[in-house]
Amino acid sequence: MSDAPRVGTGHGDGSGRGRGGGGDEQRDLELIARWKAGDERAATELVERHSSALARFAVASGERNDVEELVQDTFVRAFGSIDGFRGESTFRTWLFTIERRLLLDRRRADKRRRDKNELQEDDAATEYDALDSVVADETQARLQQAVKRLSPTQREVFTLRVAEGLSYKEIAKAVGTTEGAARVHYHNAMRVVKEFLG
Amino acid sequence: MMNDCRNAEIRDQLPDLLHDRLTAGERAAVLAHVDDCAECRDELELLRGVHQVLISSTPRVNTLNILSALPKPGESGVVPMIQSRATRSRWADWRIAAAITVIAVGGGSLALLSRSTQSVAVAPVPGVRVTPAPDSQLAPAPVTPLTATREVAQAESVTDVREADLPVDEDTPETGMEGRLNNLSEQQLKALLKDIGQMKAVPITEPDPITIKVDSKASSSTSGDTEML
Repeated sequence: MSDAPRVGTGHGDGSGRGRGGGGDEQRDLELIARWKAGDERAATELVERHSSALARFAVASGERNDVEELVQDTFVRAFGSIDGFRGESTFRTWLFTIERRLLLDRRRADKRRRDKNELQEDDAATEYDALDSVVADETQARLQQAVKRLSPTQREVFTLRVAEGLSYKEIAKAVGTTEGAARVHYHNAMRVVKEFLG
Repeated sequence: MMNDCRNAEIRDQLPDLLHDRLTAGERAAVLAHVDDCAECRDELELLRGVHQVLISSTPRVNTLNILSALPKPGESGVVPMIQSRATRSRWADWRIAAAITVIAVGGGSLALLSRSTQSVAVAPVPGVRVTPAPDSQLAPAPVTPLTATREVAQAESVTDVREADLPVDEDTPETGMEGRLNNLSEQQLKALLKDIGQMKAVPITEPDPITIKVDSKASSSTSGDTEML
Protein backbone atom coordinates (compact mmCIF):
# COMPACT_ATOMS: atom_id res chain seq x y z
CA MET A 1 0.00 0.00 0.00
CA SER A 2 3.00 2.29 0.44
CA ASP A 3 3.22 2.78 -3.33
CA ALA A 4 -0.44 3.55 -3.66
CA PRO A 5 -0.89 7.01 -5.10
CA ARG A 6 -2.26 9.69 -2.89
CA VAL A 7 -5.98 9.94 -3.27
CA GLY A 8 -8.47 12.56 -2.31
CA THR A 9 -8.54 16.00 -3.84
CA GLY A 10 -7.60 18.07 -0.83
CA HIS A 11 -8.61 21.13 -2.80
CA GLY A 12 -9.83 24.14 -0.94
CA ASP A 13 -12.68 25.29 -3.08
CA GLY A 14 -15.26 24.23 -0.60
CA SER A 15 -16.45 21.23 -2.52
CA GLY A 16 -14.76 18.54 -0.47
CA ARG A 17 -17.13 15.78 0.41
CA GLY A 18 -17.37 13.05 2.93
CA ARG A 19 -18.06 9.44 2.20
CA GLY A 20 -20.67 9.33 -0.57
CA GLY A 21 -21.02 13.11 -0.46
CA GLY A 22 -23.90 12.83 2.00
CA GLY A 23 -22.43 15.28 4.47
CA ASP A 24 -22.25 18.07 1.92
CA GLU A 25 -25.77 17.46 0.71
CA GLN A 26 -27.10 17.53 4.23
CA ARG A 27 -25.30 20.79 4.88
CA ASP A 28 -26.86 22.32 1.75
CA LEU A 29 -30.34 21.25 2.87
CA GLU A 30 -29.77 22.80 6.29
CA LEU A 31 -28.59 26.06 4.76
CA ILE A 32 -31.56 26.19 2.43
CA ALA A 33 -33.95 25.66 5.31
CA ARG A 34 -32.22 28.37 7.33
CA TRP A 35 -32.37 30.79 4.43
CA LYS A 36 -36.07 30.14 3.92
CA ALA A 37 -36.54 30.88 7.60
CA GLY A 38 -34.94 34.28 7.10
CA ASP A 39 -31.24 33.73 7.80
CA GLU A 40 -29.46 35.63 5.02
CA ARG A 41 -26.06 34.38 6.18
CA ALA A 42 -27.08 30.96 4.96
CA ALA A 43 -27.13 32.38 1.42
CA THR A 44 -23.55 33.59 1.90
CA GLU A 45 -22.35 30.12 2.71
CA LEU A 46 -24.32 28.54 -0.12
CA VAL A 47 -22.89 31.00 -2.64
CA GLU A 48 -19.36 30.45 -1.37
CA ARG A 49 -19.77 26.69 -1.49
CA HIS A 50 -20.98 26.54 -5.08
CA SER A 51 -19.86 29.64 -6.99
CA SER A 52 -16.49 28.19 -8.04
CA ALA A 53 -18.08 25.02 -9.35
CA LEU A 54 -20.58 27.05 -11.35
CA ALA A 55 -17.78 29.19 -12.77
CA ARG A 56 -15.86 26.05 -13.76
CA PHE A 57 -18.90 24.57 -15.44
CA ALA A 58 -19.47 27.79 -17.34
CA VAL A 59 -15.90 27.65 -18.64
CA ALA A 60 -16.22 23.95 -19.45
CA SER A 61 -19.36 24.72 -21.41
CA GLY A 62 -17.38 27.12 -23.56
CA GLU A 63 -18.47 30.38 -22.01
CA ARG A 64 -15.90 33.06 -22.66
CA ASN A 65 -17.47 36.27 -21.48
CA ASP A 66 -19.43 37.31 -18.43
CA VAL A 67 -18.85 34.14 -16.46
CA GLU A 68 -19.54 36.02 -13.24
CA GLU A 69 -22.80 37.40 -14.66
CA LEU A 70 -23.88 33.89 -15.59
CA VAL A 71 -23.06 32.59 -12.13
CA GLN A 72 -24.94 35.49 -10.57
CA ASP A 73 -27.99 34.91 -12.76
CA THR A 74 -27.91 31.24 -11.81
CA PHE A 75 -27.99 32.01 -8.10
CA VAL A 76 -30.67 34.67 -8.54
CA ARG A 77 -32.87 32.23 -10.43
CA ALA A 78 -32.16 29.45 -7.93
CA PHE A 79 -32.93 31.48 -4.83
CA GLY A 80 -35.95 33.00 -6.51
CA SER A 81 -37.41 29.56 -7.12
CA ILE A 82 -35.94 27.70 -4.17
CA ASP A 83 -39.30 26.13 -3.44
CA GLY A 84 -38.87 24.25 -6.70
CA PHE A 85 -35.86 22.38 -5.30
CA ARG A 86 -37.26 19.10 -4.02
CA GLY A 87 -33.99 17.38 -3.13
CA GLU A 88 -34.31 14.75 -5.87
CA SER A 89 -30.78 15.68 -6.90
CA THR A 90 -28.06 17.47 -5.00
CA PHE A 91 -28.33 21.24 -4.70
CA ARG A 92 -25.21 21.63 -6.83
CA THR A 93 -26.61 19.44 -9.59
CA TRP A 94 -29.77 21.54 -9.52
CA LEU A 95 -27.64 24.69 -9.87
CA PHE A 96 -25.81 23.17 -12.84
CA THR A 97 -29.16 22.45 -14.49
CA ILE A 98 -30.25 26.06 -14.06
CA GLU A 99 -26.93 27.39 -15.28
CA ARG A 100 -26.98 25.24 -18.38
CA ARG A 101 -30.47 26.42 -19.26
CA LEU A 102 -29.43 30.05 -18.86
CA LEU A 103 -26.37 29.39 -20.98
CA LEU A 104 -28.47 27.91 -23.78
CA ASP A 105 -30.84 30.90 -23.63
CA ARG A 106 -27.90 33.24 -23.83
CA ARG A 107 -26.45 31.39 -26.80
CA ARG A 108 -29.76 31.49 -28.67
CA ALA A 109 -30.01 35.23 -28.09
CA ASP A 110 -26.42 35.79 -29.15
CA LYS A 111 -26.95 33.74 -32.27
CA ARG A 112 -30.00 35.81 -33.24
CA ARG A 113 -28.00 38.96 -32.71
CA ARG A 114 -25.06 37.63 -34.69
CA ASP A 115 -27.30 36.65 -37.59
CA LYS A 116 -28.28 40.28 -37.92
CA ASN A 117 -24.80 41.70 -37.72
CA GLU A 118 -21.67 41.06 -39.66
CA LEU A 119 -19.34 38.48 -38.22
CA GLN A 120 -17.03 40.23 -35.86
CA GLU A 121 -13.39 39.32 -35.93
CA ASP A 122 -13.32 38.07 -32.39
CA ASP A 123 -16.18 35.68 -33.05
CA ALA A 124 -13.78 33.54 -34.99
CA ALA A 125 -11.78 32.80 -31.86
CA THR A 126 -12.04 29.36 -30.41
CA GLU A 127 -14.61 28.88 -27.71
CA TYR A 128 -11.99 27.28 -25.52
CA ASP A 129 -10.12 30.54 -24.98
CA ALA A 130 -11.42 30.70 -21.45
CA LEU A 131 -9.03 27.92 -20.49
CA ASP A 132 -6.05 29.93 -21.64
CA SER A 133 -4.15 30.76 -18.52
CA VAL A 134 -0.61 30.74 -17.29
CA VAL A 135 0.22 27.25 -16.12
CA ALA A 136 2.92 26.39 -13.71
CA ASP A 137 4.66 23.69 -15.70
CA GLU A 138 4.75 21.90 -19.00
CA THR A 139 2.76 18.92 -17.73
CA GLN A 140 -0.14 21.11 -16.75
CA ALA A 141 0.09 22.92 -20.08
CA ARG A 142 -0.19 19.63 -21.95
CA LEU A 143 -3.14 18.55 -19.83
CA GLN A 144 -4.79 21.86 -20.58
CA GLN A 145 -4.25 21.35 -24.29
CA ALA A 146 -5.64 17.83 -24.01
CA VAL A 147 -8.88 19.04 -22.42
CA LYS A 148 -9.21 21.69 -25.11
CA ARG A 149 -9.39 18.97 -27.74
CA LEU A 150 -12.62 17.57 -26.32
CA SER A 151 -15.96 18.22 -27.96
CA PRO A 152 -18.29 20.56 -26.04
CA THR A 153 -20.36 17.71 -24.61
CA GLN A 154 -17.32 15.62 -23.76
CA ARG A 155 -15.78 18.58 -22.04
CA GLU A 156 -18.90 19.28 -19.99
CA VAL A 157 -19.20 15.67 -18.87
CA PHE A 158 -15.48 15.26 -18.27
CA THR A 159 -15.32 18.43 -16.17
CA LEU A 160 -18.31 17.47 -14.07
CA ARG A 161 -16.86 14.01 -13.47
CA VAL A 162 -13.25 14.92 -12.83
CA ALA A 163 -13.42 18.42 -11.35
CA GLU A 164 -16.68 18.08 -9.43
CA GLY A 165 -16.87 14.33 -8.85
CA LEU A 166 -20.49 14.09 -9.91
CA SER A 167 -21.95 10.65 -10.50
CA TYR A 168 -23.14 9.73 -13.98
CA LYS A 169 -26.70 10.06 -12.77
CA GLU A 170 -26.08 13.62 -11.57
CA ILE A 171 -24.20 14.48 -14.75
CA ALA A 172 -27.10 13.20 -16.83
CA LYS A 173 -29.50 15.52 -14.99
CA ALA A 174 -27.17 18.49 -15.28
CA VAL A 175 -26.54 18.24 -19.02
CA GLY A 176 -29.87 16.79 -20.04
CA THR A 177 -28.85 13.33 -21.16
CA THR A 178 -29.02 9.76 -19.92
CA GLU A 179 -26.77 8.05 -17.43
CA GLY A 180 -25.49 5.66 -20.07
CA ALA A 181 -24.72 8.47 -22.50
CA ALA A 182 -22.87 10.36 -19.78
CA ARG A 183 -20.71 7.30 -19.11
CA VAL A 184 -19.93 6.94 -22.81
CA HIS A 185 -19.04 10.63 -23.15
CA TYR A 186 -16.72 10.38 -20.15
CA HIS A 187 -14.82 7.39 -21.45
CA ASN A 188 -14.60 8.85 -24.94
CA ALA A 189 -13.17 12.00 -23.41
CA MET A 190 -10.65 10.00 -21.44
CA ARG A 191 -9.58 8.24 -24.64
CA VAL A 192 -9.09 11.58 -26.45
CA VAL A 193 -7.00 12.91 -23.59
CA LYS A 194 -4.84 9.78 -23.43
CA GLU A 195 -4.31 9.80 -27.21
CA PHE A 196 -3.14 13.41 -27.09
CA LEU A 197 -0.77 12.80 -24.24
CA GLY A 198 0.60 9.75 -26.00
CA MET B 1 -0.08 5.85 -25.37
CA MET B 2 -1.53 5.02 -21.98
CA ASN B 3 -3.43 1.75 -22.00
CA ASP B 4 -6.81 1.19 -20.42
CA CYS B 5 -7.33 -1.27 -17.63
CA ARG B 6 -9.79 -3.97 -18.64
CA ASN B 7 -11.70 -3.64 -15.40
CA ALA B 8 -14.28 -1.09 -16.48
CA GLU B 9 -15.95 -1.06 -13.10
CA ILE B 10 -12.79 -0.03 -11.30
CA ARG B 11 -12.02 2.59 -13.97
CA ASP B 12 -15.48 4.03 -13.45
CA GLN B 13 -14.78 4.40 -9.75
CA LEU B 14 -11.46 6.19 -10.05
CA PRO B 15 -13.01 9.70 -10.10
CA ASP B 16 -15.11 8.69 -7.08
CA LEU B 17 -11.93 7.61 -5.32
CA LEU B 18 -10.41 10.98 -6.18
CA HIS B 19 -13.36 12.81 -4.63
CA ASP B 20 -13.68 10.49 -1.66
CA ARG B 21 -17.17 9.43 -2.64
CA LEU B 22 -16.74 5.71 -2.00
CA THR B 23 -17.90 3.72 0.96
CA ALA B 24 -15.24 2.18 3.12
CA GLY B 25 -15.63 -1.18 1.42
CA GLU B 26 -15.55 0.23 -2.09
CA ARG B 27 -12.51 2.33 -1.28
CA ALA B 28 -10.60 -0.61 0.04
CA ALA B 29 -11.40 -2.68 -3.04
CA VAL B 30 -10.40 0.05 -5.47
CA LEU B 31 -7.19 0.82 -3.63
CA ALA B 32 -6.28 -2.84 -3.60
CA HIS B 33 -6.76 -3.03 -7.37
CA VAL B 34 -4.87 0.19 -8.05
CA ASP B 35 -1.99 -1.12 -6.03
CA ASP B 36 -1.58 -3.98 -8.52
CA CYS B 37 -2.56 -2.21 -11.76
CA ALA B 38 -0.13 0.14 -13.51
CA GLU B 39 -2.80 1.33 -15.99
CA CYS B 40 -5.12 2.35 -13.17
CA ARG B 41 -2.29 4.07 -11.32
CA ASP B 42 -1.46 6.04 -14.45
CA GLU B 43 -5.09 6.90 -15.04
CA LEU B 44 -5.55 8.02 -11.45
CA GLU B 45 -2.47 10.22 -11.74
CA LEU B 46 -3.87 11.65 -14.97
CA LEU B 47 -7.17 12.41 -13.25
CA ARG B 48 -5.37 14.22 -10.46
CA GLY B 49 -3.48 16.32 -12.99
CA VAL B 50 -6.61 17.23 -14.97
CA HIS B 51 -8.41 18.03 -11.75
CA GLN B 52 -5.60 20.38 -10.76
CA VAL B 53 -5.67 22.13 -14.15
CA LEU B 54 -9.45 22.60 -14.09
CA ILE B 55 -9.41 23.92 -10.53
CA SER B 56 -6.53 26.32 -11.14
CA SER B 57 -8.14 27.74 -14.29
CA THR B 58 -11.41 28.56 -12.52
CA PRO B 59 -12.19 32.23 -13.03
CA ARG B 60 -12.72 34.18 -9.84
CA VAL B 61 -16.21 35.44 -9.11
CA ASN B 62 -17.11 38.20 -6.70
CA THR B 63 -19.49 36.58 -4.25
CA LEU B 64 -20.44 39.95 -2.73
CA ASN B 65 -21.90 41.07 -6.06
CA ILE B 66 -23.83 37.83 -6.25
CA LEU B 67 -25.16 38.14 -2.71
CA SER B 68 -26.35 41.69 -3.28
CA ALA B 69 -28.41 40.53 -6.26
CA LEU B 70 -30.18 37.71 -4.47
CA PRO B 71 -33.83 38.01 -3.49
CA LYS B 72 -34.63 38.24 0.20
CA PRO B 73 -35.88 35.20 2.06
CA GLY B 74 -39.61 35.05 1.66
CA GLU B 75 -39.43 36.50 -1.82
CA SER B 76 -38.87 33.07 -3.31
CA GLY B 77 -41.72 31.54 -5.24
CA VAL B 78 -41.72 34.40 -7.70
CA VAL B 79 -39.20 33.58 -10.36
CA PRO B 80 -37.28 36.79 -10.91
CA MET B 81 -37.24 38.25 -14.36
CA ILE B 82 -33.77 37.88 -15.72
CA GLN B 83 -34.23 39.72 -18.96
CA SER B 84 -31.96 38.59 -21.66
CA ARG B 85 -30.26 41.30 -23.60
CA ALA B 86 -32.45 40.50 -26.61
CA THR B 87 -35.65 40.71 -24.54
CA ARG B 88 -34.69 44.10 -23.13
CA SER B 89 -34.08 45.33 -26.68
CA ARG B 90 -37.42 43.93 -27.95
CA TRP B 91 -39.46 45.65 -25.19
CA ALA B 92 -37.71 48.94 -25.86
CA ASP B 93 -38.57 48.62 -29.55
CA TRP B 94 -42.26 48.02 -28.76
CA ARG B 95 -42.42 51.04 -26.46
CA ILE B 96 -40.86 53.26 -29.09
CA ALA B 97 -43.26 51.95 -31.73
CA ALA B 98 -46.26 52.58 -29.46
CA ALA B 99 -45.14 56.12 -28.69
CA ILE B 100 -44.64 56.86 -32.38
CA THR B 101 -48.12 55.55 -33.17
CA VAL B 102 -49.83 57.70 -30.53
CA ILE B 103 -47.99 60.81 -31.63
CA ALA B 104 -48.75 60.07 -35.27
CA VAL B 105 -52.47 59.65 -34.63
CA GLY B 106 -52.81 62.66 -32.36
CA GLY B 107 -50.61 64.97 -34.37
CA GLY B 108 -52.10 63.87 -37.66
CA SER B 109 -55.61 64.72 -36.56
CA LEU B 110 -54.54 68.12 -35.32
CA ALA B 111 -52.64 68.85 -38.50
CA LEU B 112 -55.62 67.92 -40.63
CA LEU B 113 -57.97 70.06 -38.57
CA SER B 114 -55.71 73.06 -38.76
CA ARG B 115 -55.43 72.80 -42.55
CA SER B 116 -59.14 72.57 -42.99
CA THR B 117 -60.09 75.75 -41.10
CA GLN B 118 -61.05 77.52 -44.36
CA SER B 119 -62.58 74.60 -46.11
CA VAL B 120 -66.04 73.25 -45.65
CA ALA B 121 -65.12 69.71 -44.94
CA VAL B 122 -63.96 68.95 -41.44
CA ALA B 123 -61.93 65.84 -41.07
CA PRO B 124 -61.30 65.06 -37.48
CA VAL B 125 -59.92 61.70 -36.59
CA PRO B 126 -62.98 59.61 -36.10
CA GLY B 127 -63.47 58.56 -32.58
CA VAL B 128 -61.13 61.16 -31.15
CA ARG B 129 -62.17 64.47 -29.60
CA VAL B 130 -59.41 66.55 -28.13
CA THR B 131 -60.34 68.58 -25.09
CA PRO B 132 -58.04 70.92 -23.23
CA ALA B 133 -56.66 69.81 -19.90
CA PRO B 134 -58.22 71.61 -16.89
CA ASP B 135 -54.99 73.37 -16.09
CA SER B 136 -54.34 74.36 -19.66
CA GLN B 137 -53.45 77.92 -20.44
CA LEU B 138 -55.56 77.88 -23.56
CA ALA B 139 -58.63 80.06 -23.71
CA PRO B 140 -61.75 78.02 -23.28
CA ALA B 141 -63.30 76.98 -26.57
CA PRO B 142 -66.34 79.12 -27.40
CA VAL B 143 -69.54 77.17 -27.68
CA THR B 144 -71.66 78.35 -30.60
CA PRO B 145 -74.65 76.81 -32.16
CA LEU B 146 -74.10 74.83 -35.24
CA THR B 147 -74.35 77.10 -38.29
CA ALA B 148 -74.22 74.24 -40.75
CA THR B 149 -71.29 75.76 -42.58
CA ARG B 150 -69.30 72.63 -42.28
CA GLU B 151 -69.68 68.99 -42.94
CA VAL B 152 -69.09 66.96 -39.91
CA ALA B 153 -68.19 63.34 -39.73
CA GLN B 154 -70.10 60.87 -37.66
CA ALA B 155 -67.93 58.77 -35.46
CA GLU B 156 -69.04 55.39 -34.31
CA SER B 157 -67.53 55.95 -30.91
CA VAL B 158 -65.80 58.76 -29.11
CA THR B 159 -62.67 58.58 -27.10
CA ASP B 160 -61.83 61.68 -25.14
CA VAL B 161 -58.16 62.44 -25.38
CA ARG B 162 -57.06 65.01 -22.91
CA GLU B 163 -54.48 67.46 -24.14
CA ALA B 164 -52.23 66.65 -21.25
CA ASP B 165 -52.35 63.01 -22.26
CA LEU B 166 -50.82 63.64 -25.65
CA PRO B 167 -47.39 62.18 -25.32
CA VAL B 168 -44.38 64.26 -26.06
CA ASP B 169 -41.53 61.88 -26.49
CA GLU B 170 -38.41 63.75 -27.48
CA ASP B 171 -36.44 60.53 -27.66
CA THR B 172 -38.68 58.93 -30.22
CA PRO B 173 -36.60 58.11 -33.25
CA GLU B 174 -37.47 59.71 -36.55
CA THR B 175 -40.30 58.00 -38.39
CA GLY B 176 -39.96 59.67 -41.76
CA MET B 177 -42.53 62.46 -41.06
CA GLU B 178 -39.89 65.08 -40.58
CA GLY B 179 -41.20 68.63 -40.24
CA ARG B 180 -44.65 67.41 -39.35
CA LEU B 181 -45.81 65.35 -36.51
CA ASN B 182 -42.82 64.18 -34.52
CA ASN B 183 -41.24 67.59 -34.47
CA LEU B 184 -44.27 69.32 -33.02
CA SER B 185 -43.36 70.69 -29.63
CA GLU B 186 -45.80 71.04 -26.76
CA GLN B 187 -46.18 74.75 -27.53
CA GLN B 188 -46.97 74.00 -31.16
CA LEU B 189 -49.56 71.43 -30.17
CA LYS B 190 -51.16 73.92 -27.80
CA ALA B 191 -51.24 76.50 -30.59
CA LEU B 192 -53.02 74.03 -32.84
CA LEU B 193 -55.57 73.35 -30.14
CA LYS B 194 -56.12 77.05 -29.73
CA ASP B 195 -56.84 77.34 -33.43
CA ILE B 196 -59.36 74.55 -33.16
CA GLY B 197 -61.00 76.27 -30.23
CA GLN B 198 -61.43 79.43 -32.21
CA MET B 199 -63.24 77.71 -35.05
CA LYS B 200 -66.70 79.20 -35.58
CA ALA B 201 -68.55 76.00 -36.12
CA VAL B 202 -68.40 73.29 -33.48
CA PRO B 203 -69.83 69.96 -34.43
CA ILE B 204 -72.65 68.91 -32.16
CA THR B 205 -73.06 65.51 -33.61
CA GLU B 206 -70.61 62.74 -33.74
CA PRO B 207 -68.57 62.77 -36.95
CA ASP B 208 -68.88 60.01 -39.53
CA PRO B 209 -66.00 57.58 -39.65
CA ILE B 210 -63.53 58.52 -42.34
CA THR B 211 -60.21 57.31 -43.54
CA ILE B 212 -57.25 59.47 -42.72
CA LYS B 213 -55.00 59.89 -45.69
CA VAL B 214 -51.36 60.29 -44.88
CA ASP B 215 -48.63 60.81 -47.36
CA SER B 216 -46.48 57.99 -48.62
CA LYS B 217 -43.53 58.90 -46.41
CA ALA B 218 -45.45 58.31 -43.27
CA SER B 219 -47.50 55.38 -44.47
CA SER B 220 -44.81 52.81 -43.80
CA SER B 221 -44.45 53.79 -40.17
CA THR B 222 -48.06 54.55 -39.40
CA SER B 223 -49.74 51.87 -41.40
CA GLY B 224 -52.57 50.34 -39.58
CA ASP B 225 -53.32 53.48 -37.61
CA THR B 226 -56.77 53.84 -39.13
CA GLU B 227 -57.55 50.30 -38.12
CA MET B 228 -56.68 51.20 -34.58
CA LEU B 229 -59.41 53.78 -34.50
